[in-house]
Amino acid sequence: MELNLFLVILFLSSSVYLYFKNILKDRSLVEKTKWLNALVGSANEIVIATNPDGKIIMFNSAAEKMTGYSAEEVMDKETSEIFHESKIEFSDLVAKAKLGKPDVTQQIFINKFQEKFSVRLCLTAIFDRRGEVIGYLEIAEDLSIYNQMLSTIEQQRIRMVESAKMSQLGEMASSIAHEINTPLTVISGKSSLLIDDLKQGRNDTSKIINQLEKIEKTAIQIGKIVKGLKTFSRNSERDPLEETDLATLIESTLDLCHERLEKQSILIQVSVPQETLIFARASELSQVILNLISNAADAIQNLREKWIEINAFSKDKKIIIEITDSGNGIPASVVEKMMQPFFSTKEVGKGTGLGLSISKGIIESHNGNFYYDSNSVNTRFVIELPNRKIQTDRAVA
Amino acid sequence: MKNLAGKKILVVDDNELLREVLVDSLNMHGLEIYEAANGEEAFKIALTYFPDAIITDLQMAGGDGKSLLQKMSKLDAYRPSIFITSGFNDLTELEIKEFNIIQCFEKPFERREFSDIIFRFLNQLTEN
Repeated sequence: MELNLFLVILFLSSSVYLYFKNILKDRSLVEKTKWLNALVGSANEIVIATNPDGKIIMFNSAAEKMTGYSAEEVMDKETSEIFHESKIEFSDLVAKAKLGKPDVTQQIFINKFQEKFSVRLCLTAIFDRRGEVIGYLEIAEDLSIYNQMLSTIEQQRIRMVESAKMSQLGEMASSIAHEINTPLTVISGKSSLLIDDLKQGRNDTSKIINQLEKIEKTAIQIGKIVKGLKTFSRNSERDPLEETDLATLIESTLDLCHERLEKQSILIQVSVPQETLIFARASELSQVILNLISNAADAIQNLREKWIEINAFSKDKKIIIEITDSGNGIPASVVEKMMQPFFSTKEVGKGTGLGLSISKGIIESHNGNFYYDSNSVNTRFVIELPNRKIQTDRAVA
Repeated sequence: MKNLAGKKILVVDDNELLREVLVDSLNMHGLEIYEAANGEEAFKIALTYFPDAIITDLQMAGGDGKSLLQKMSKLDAYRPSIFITSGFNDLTELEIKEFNIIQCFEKPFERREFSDIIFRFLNQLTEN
């Protein structure tokens, strides 16, 4: 009897135990599902799961927010019908996912209000244990904030290039004024002397012609300076690369700093082969060369020997422009950092620290290389541009 | 206008055409004119002919105007009057006094006004 009672109690207690154990098991399953839903729901990315036919079975809150559709609205619909701008590309992605080789691609999504937005999309197939496709998972990241950021950075870069150019121009302003004021005084002075001569009846024709020729020559000289300034200051950021004669470009750049170099007693020597054609944005390349000359002039102002040499030649299908000054090179510690933005060895307020980093950017946008030549005994910067002429000649041949 | 015979003037500028304008503007009334293309040349000429006045640019290649004036101001017995033809100058009040600068012409300046002022000044010199 006692044994029977014991068995009954044992049976009952084990049943109760199993009953509660199952309840606990179910509860943890519910908890797990809740937790997974919360996980997918909290994702910043669009997460969409579909069945093997591509019909939506899960649509997270980020997806609701970004597409404007509620989960109920899109249930059992195909994603390609609703969101994807390019249906063909989408079926391509599905094919790749089926092979287990998903691609991450940039796609255009269309929201409920028919507005397009750019996303980075990864579409993967969900496989069961036997390798059968039981559904698809689309995870998409909204790129509009990222793209906006990129365009802000780009705008800032353009503004920086512009302001560096203007500050360079500012540094040159007084020497340019001098450069223009002297010939202006020559023109007005010679004109007024001629007027006085003629008024007093002194009309020696050959003398008058000689003086007028000097006036003409001087006016042309002013014109060259102004033209150089115009080329330099125009914003050519978005101009295409154009066929440019290197010798002419260097000459008009030198017109802008000729006076400054002369006043500092700096000898300038230029060797550019005739008809060296490059593909460039003249104003930008001129900015790079002017910046290098200006840096060189600052660096060598207190040296006994003061010269700057510009040497251009073609080598290995490239046009090489070497700008060398009489300085004895740059210390390795400076070389390491000098191409970084805002690095400057000049006293505060004198340099922007942007010159070299901008120059590097400009030359790279010309598909070229810009570097400091540490093998040279004297301080030398090198601009390498692709020799497009050779390429075109070849294409023609 | 008085005859300025015996008065000497030195024109210093590295720009040949501008020098021509200045010289042609002053080449009358018997005035004796010397020319120099830079400071060093000017110093030599000044110590050979002792001009009454020197008209000089400040920024010049090959020996600038300021070092010329510094050297001139250190001389004891000779103190010419100085006229400046630079567009910009950063001379201090003290330097203007020390160098005996009478006037600065700011480029671009009017030639007639320039020669009027120089001649008026030289006339006063002959009066005294």
